[in-house]
Amino acid sequence: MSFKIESFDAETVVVTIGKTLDFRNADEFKNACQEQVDSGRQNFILDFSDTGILDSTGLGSIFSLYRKVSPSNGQVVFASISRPVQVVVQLTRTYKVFRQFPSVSAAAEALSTAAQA
Amino acid sequence: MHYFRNLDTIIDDVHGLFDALEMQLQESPTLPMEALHTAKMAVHEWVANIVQHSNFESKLPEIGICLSQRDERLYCMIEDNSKGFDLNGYLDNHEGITTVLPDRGMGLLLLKACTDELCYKSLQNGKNQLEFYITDKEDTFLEIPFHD
Repeated sequence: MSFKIESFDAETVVVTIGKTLDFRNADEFKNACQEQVDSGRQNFILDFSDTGILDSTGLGSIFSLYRKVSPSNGQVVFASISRPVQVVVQLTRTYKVFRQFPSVSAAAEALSTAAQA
Repeated sequence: MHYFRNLDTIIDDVHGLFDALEMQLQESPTLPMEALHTAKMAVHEWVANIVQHSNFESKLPEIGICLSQRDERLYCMIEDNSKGFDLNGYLDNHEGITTVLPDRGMGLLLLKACTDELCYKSLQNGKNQLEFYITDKEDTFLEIPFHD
């Protein structure tokens, strides 16, 4: 299992991406997230602190997750973005879709505040 | 030139090559780190394409990667001994992404978007060669439809 998934609350999980999210483990990421969606999670905090490669297929798997949760107002946010991942975010301008936070705790706080509003 | 012959390990081996270059660049900064990260992504995308789609027939795969700094730019050259891929035709027929938030089909367009002087050709020795430069351009991006 490449991805560590921890519950933050009933609706939110933190997914630690690890070294890579690429064509080799994108399906595994999709399946792991689908299990969470099936069990009622709508908000995903993706922790990129240790990630050296996010490739186009990996990004596509995140798009897939976003397409699943966004109709029910679920969110996918990026936390602790490493410099290699920041390059991809800038090149694809996905900061327009995925909010970015300096840390997992900052992302969790923002999602928690949004849920209470 | 760095040569790789195992398609099962080449992705991790290429990442290792870039990790070593990143350590060198931290000790002696001769170009922006973002340029190296962009090069790593571009090389990864091309090698991933080779691993997933290339036909080496009965030949032992051999992929060579050359990286060098030329003035303010990073030059990358990747050679392989597969049957080749019609990259130029693909790029001619796929000028941009039309699917909203696509799962697949972004890799080669991303490669094109983040490189300068992208050139792919067959060599007289039967190999295929991809060349490009990486520059630290802040205005470069790949247009992806985010909404219908």
